[in-house]
Amino acid sequence: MTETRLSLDLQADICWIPLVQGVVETGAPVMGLDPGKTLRLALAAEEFILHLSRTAPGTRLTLTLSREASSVSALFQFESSPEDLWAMNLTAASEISQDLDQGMAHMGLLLASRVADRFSIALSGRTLGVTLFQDIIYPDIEKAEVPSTPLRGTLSAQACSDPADISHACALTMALYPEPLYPKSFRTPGNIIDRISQGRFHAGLVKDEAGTAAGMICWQIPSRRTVEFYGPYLFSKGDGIAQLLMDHLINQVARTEAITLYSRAATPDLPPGNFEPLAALAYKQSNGQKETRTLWFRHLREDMGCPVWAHPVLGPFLKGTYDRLFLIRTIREYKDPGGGRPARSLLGTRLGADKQEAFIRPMLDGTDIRENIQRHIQLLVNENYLNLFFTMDLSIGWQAALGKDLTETGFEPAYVLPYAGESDKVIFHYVHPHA
Amino acid sequence: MSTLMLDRIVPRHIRNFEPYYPSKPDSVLMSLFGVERLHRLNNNENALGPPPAVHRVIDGFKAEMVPVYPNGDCFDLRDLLAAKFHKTQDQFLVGNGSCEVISSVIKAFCVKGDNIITADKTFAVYEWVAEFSGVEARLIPLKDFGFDPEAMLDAVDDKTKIIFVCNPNNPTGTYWDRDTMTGFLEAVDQRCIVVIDEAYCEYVDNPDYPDAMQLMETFPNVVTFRTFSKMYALAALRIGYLCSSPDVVDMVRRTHIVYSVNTPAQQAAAAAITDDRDFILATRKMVKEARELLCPFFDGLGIPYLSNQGNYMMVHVPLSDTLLYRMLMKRGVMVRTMTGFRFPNWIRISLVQAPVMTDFINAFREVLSTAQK
Ligand SMILES: Cc1ncc(COP(=O)(O)O)c(C=O)c1O
Repeated sequence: MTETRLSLDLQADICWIPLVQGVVETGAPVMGLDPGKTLRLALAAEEFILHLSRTAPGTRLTLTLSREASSVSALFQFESSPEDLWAMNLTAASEISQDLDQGMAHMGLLLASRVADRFSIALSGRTLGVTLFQDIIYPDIEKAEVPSTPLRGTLSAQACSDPADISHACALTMALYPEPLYPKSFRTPGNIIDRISQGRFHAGLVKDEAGTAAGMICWQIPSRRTVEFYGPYLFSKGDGIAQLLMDHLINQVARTEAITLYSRAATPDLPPGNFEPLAALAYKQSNGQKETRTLWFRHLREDMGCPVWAHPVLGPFLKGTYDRLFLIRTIREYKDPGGGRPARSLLGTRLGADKQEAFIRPMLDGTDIRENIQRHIQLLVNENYLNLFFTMDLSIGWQAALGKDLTETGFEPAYVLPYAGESDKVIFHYVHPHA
Repeated sequence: MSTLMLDRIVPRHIRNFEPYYPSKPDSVLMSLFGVERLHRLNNNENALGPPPAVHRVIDGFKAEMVPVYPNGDCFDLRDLLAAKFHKTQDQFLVGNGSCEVISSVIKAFCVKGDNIITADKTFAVYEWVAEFSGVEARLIPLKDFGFDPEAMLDAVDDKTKIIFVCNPNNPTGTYWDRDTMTGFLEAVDQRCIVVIDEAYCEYVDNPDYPDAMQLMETFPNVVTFRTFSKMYALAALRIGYLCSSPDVVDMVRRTHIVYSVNTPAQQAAAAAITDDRDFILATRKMVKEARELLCPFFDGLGIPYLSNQGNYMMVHVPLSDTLLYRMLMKRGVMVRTMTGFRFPNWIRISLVQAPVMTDFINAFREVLSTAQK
């Protein structure tokens, strides 16, 4: 499957809505999106244009429809003030309904962000890029029968992209490991296979001489300098399978730009001596119990240190963490330079399936950010999300400055992910006040 | 407003290449890690410093000499090298470190679509230069920590232009003896260039160690690389060279930048090789004594290691090598992590004077007991 894209230059005017609909409705199915999702993407695109036609008529914009790995997306690029995007906040609906006159203009944006599976926002100079995603639907598979044939001959590790091998390994993993220890997409391996074919996901298998799979390790590259892995998954008993998988993974990523290799859900088969414990998360489960999950990481090369921004309330946490991990950081206190701060902030929210977790990420700063965080907490808690996380990039001053707002609204710093941004990121976990 | 369309003008193999970022200066590292001294055990440098004759050259180098270009192709030094190795001047090409001659050789023989063959776990620059030149690097897994001659021969095809053999290998210290090397060269049968990188040859005194300078008399496709950075301790001056048959050198000369080697480097190198016997013996003695300290130490801890040739050894540590690096740095000791050499959880240590090795041993012992808590 190759990357396909289609683009259109136009002006924000309702007269173009049928054309935009047409492009999405005929383009997205060619890129593999099913009819239901195509309609949703067309609706999201339509609402987006409608919003711009009302709030900034005549704005020149480019619409790019593209297929990437396991999703089809519509990207809108135009010059605008990012402040106008506040209605993409997960919490905007209640505000809009409270003040319909003022809110109507933003209704389109609200709908567009709700109808899409995900969205992202990027600001480059004055050009704003808003991407609305729809994920391709793949068929589910059943757990596999675990074979009892013994392994034969020497074992070796190799990169794997063969659809049948991947599918079978996913089915074996589902049979042998509990759910939180593998990505949800293992249930629909078509998704994994498409992402592997585009270099967005990677898998390594250990096989015996007869070609029987003895284990699998998977990884992806969420940011320039981090690699996140899943596994190791062992399909048979055998000495050294886990170490072979680990060596394969490390050797594949060792000569890349990545510095941090980590896992949020490594299996108990992780061989000792390769990783450092990053944190022990008290993860809340649906039965009300807390389960401790250990996060593991290692560096792939020498750490040369870097500066990080921080609000003083985070000082003790950061210093403690950096000392424990022997990481060299110059902690710089971020002082709000004052002035020029927009009124309205924007938070991006990624909702996990089964309401287990929700991830909040600050996208745009604004003087209302503390209230905005509170509104998000309230909405997600009311909807019974069990674990709320907030990611802060310590290389971005205004984000680092949120330390106080976060700790005062019930978040606690849970762990530092080294080099997840230009420098490190801190992941906060929400502690229910009544817990 | 026009934007620079880097995607359009940068070739794919350059876009996909991961740039290498060297470590920060010692002074910066020392202040970051909060230490007052730093033992550099990461770059296989000769801690004894250069031979005495080099001190005189460097001390005598005057500011008045700076406006004048150096000799463009190291005339005097090549003269000396020719005399020392019983060759002719036109068999030598001197570069800004042997790294520069690696680049010249690949440029001279390879175009897009060609390949070079080397090992997966060896000095990385052969692989890097090939990749950013759009040339395929076929990386043959080591066998028992050494280059695997059969597997390398199996990988040769009509697009193979160069085979790089690092002898002794950095970082494992293994080497091919004379029979293995001769058998390999016969099997290659002049189909391509065979580079024998002898960066650490002066550290080897085993009688079965082959000398590429002699082999090239029988096998004109042999090119040897030598450097002044390792034994002769001129790493800061950046000077190394290649030697081969005159026809081969004549081709490489076309792709080799002239004037790349500065005057103090040329003069220091000349001084270094003029009377080097005692200096080499003293350095070998230091390396031997360092091994005699470290090997029993690691044996005592039950920690596996590789102690072969060269002025370095490799150790398989019971924790992440990169964590060990950070913990040792806090104690003023800098080692090389081996994950980037595709040896996860190994470190490489330069072998230097006994007091420094003792500091290393103490720091290592402390770090291990902290890590195992
Ligand atoms: C095997 C090998 N070849 C070549 C070099 C490069 O040496 P130079 O300093 O001459 O560029 C090194 C340096 O580490 C090396 O280990």
